[in-house]
Amino acid sequence: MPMSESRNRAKLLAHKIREMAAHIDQEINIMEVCGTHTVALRREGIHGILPPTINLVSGPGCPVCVTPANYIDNALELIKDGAVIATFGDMLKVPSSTGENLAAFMGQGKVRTVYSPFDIIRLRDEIQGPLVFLGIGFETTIPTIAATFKEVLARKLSQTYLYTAFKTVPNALRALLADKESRVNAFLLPGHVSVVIGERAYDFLKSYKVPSVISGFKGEEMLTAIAAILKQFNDKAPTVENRYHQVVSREGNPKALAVMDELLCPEDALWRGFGLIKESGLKLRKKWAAIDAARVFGLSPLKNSEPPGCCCAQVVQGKIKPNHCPLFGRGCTPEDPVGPCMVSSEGSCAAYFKYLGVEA
Amino acid sequence: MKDKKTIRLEHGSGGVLTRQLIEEIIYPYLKNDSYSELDDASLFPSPAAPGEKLAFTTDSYVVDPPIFRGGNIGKLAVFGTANDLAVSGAEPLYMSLGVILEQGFSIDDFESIIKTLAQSAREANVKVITGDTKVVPAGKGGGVFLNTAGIGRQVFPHSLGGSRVQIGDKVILSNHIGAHGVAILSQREGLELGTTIQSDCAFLYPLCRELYSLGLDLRFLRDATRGGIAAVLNEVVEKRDFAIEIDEEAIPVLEDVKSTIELLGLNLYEIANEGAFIAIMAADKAEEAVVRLKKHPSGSGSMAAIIGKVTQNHCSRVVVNTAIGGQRLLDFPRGLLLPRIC
Repeated sequence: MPMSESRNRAKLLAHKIREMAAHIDQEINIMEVCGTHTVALRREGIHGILPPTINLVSGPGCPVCVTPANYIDNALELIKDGAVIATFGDMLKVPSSTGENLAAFMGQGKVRTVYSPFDIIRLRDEIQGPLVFLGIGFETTIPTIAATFKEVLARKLSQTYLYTAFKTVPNALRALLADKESRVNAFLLPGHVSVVIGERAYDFLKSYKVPSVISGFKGEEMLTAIAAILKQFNDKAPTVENRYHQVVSREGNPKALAVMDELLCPEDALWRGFGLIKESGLKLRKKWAAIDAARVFGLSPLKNSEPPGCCCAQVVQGKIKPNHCPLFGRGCTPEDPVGPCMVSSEGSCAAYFKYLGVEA
Repeated sequence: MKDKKTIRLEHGSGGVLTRQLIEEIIYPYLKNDSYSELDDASLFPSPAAPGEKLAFTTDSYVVDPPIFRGGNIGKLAVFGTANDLAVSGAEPLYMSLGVILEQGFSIDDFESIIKTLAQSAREANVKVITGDTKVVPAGKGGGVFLNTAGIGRQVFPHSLGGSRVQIGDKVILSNHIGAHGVAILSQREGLELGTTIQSDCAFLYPLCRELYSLGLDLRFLRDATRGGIAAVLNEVVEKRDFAIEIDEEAIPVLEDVKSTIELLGLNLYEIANEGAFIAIMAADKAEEAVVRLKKHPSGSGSMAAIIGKVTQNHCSRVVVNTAIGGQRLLDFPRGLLLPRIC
């Protein structure tokens, strides 16, 4: 088969990476912050292209994975009280703190999956009684959900609620850097999130002197970004670089930021694994309390509790690799997941299992 | 409180759980001399014509929606049944048709399904010679379900189930993949994707016959329906002393199918197809096989390609060589891909 151009360019990049790595006298642990990168890196087989001194470490960027287990408990509670839940498919099989999941209620029409949050406007016509959308996600997904609920408010749709557990990236990076046990010494910064928040949102990273590069999701783009990280090590000039100019601007997307700001405000958010991180989440502003499921239904505050043996908490912090969890591929598989990292298509356990295998 | 003891939708997705259901619950009780391999069709000696073998298969169709771009459940039932016989080395001859209708289903729609079914049967030169009709109360069925059995005559006298595959053989895909899944999904309620992608639903016996004529150099045939090429390739390597390596860039796929799949976050390799099969050929006959498929007048093999080879490394696994020179595993489909796709 003819070797494609992209394979040629990738070969050159891999060569460049190996050459630079040979001159760097330390182990480099690059954290991919974003779940889409977690999957894309393993899908493209980049781990096998890199020299052994360069490790890829999965980070907290899988929204389902960093959501505390009792968020699902609360959603199940809402169903028992007569509400219909609308959600992205990724949430269906996440175990609650007692091992139940939302998928079990799909047959009864109590849980409806959507591909786009705007689907709830159509669902509203079909469904009697309260309809609650599970607001999970980072800056990538939040603007569309906010825009949907702006529409819900404009159309004065009754009994249509948002249950927020939104997370935002910048302060999670601060928390990672503050952790003394962390092995991470470079960041592959998310592409899609950065489209919304802009390069500017990472300016604070410069003072930490951690090489950081915003990257796209194609194989060649990720190799380019990794090469850029190594160059910063080589030149001893750590900074924040944007290698995804095509779509990421310095200022981000003002429209997306505006719609988020109109409906939502920062809150201290609880992350699975990390605990409470200051101003790392978004909740509905007080003036929209009437559509805030947490307030309207008096839902219990989120709290962290892990299933016995599950290491998702360490996995999302990049402290262990998925295959070092004792349950990986044994008690915990994509068919019967124990923790969220094996459930979500963006979870690092699921990506390892799928693309590297149990024996990896 | 895990839902371990009840049937889940994933049990029907053609992946790991489907196999578990068959291997742990069905097969142990029903195992006999003539049902010894879990192939698409079983071959058995013809009682009437000594020396001849007949092929027997059965299939059920629950696709939602039952009428879709590029076909309907009737066409799917005829071609799907005929294709199962064809990839087992048999010429399709006769079939049965069981119909389960739900109260309230449109009679016009039902008639158009049966019309297409009859047209497809003529095209495949298959006669429907027995049938049954049942109606279930509204809410107890999915509009229309079809069940078929098919009988064919063995014309390729060697096993096509993978036992003859050798290291060094080449893996061929008979046409582009992914179109059926995208066509079905894009017409599901609420997903206005604006694509005009048609299901690839096609009768594959004429293409298979082209390959039968290559004799023993044809080692393996299987249509890539439920579970897609991921399921087929994993079934070939399972418990065997070889692996399959495929080249991502070599997989034929239509541009708009590819972009829709990316948009929806689906896995091209796991999506059901209704008009494509995997063939494994001796290396020196692979090019010839591809040429034959490509120039077949039906057009159903127009994008045929060699997509990989049988190798010694990574035994019992399927490995994908990525476009940038990396490698990853291709696993059995595990999650719930798309319910009721065929």
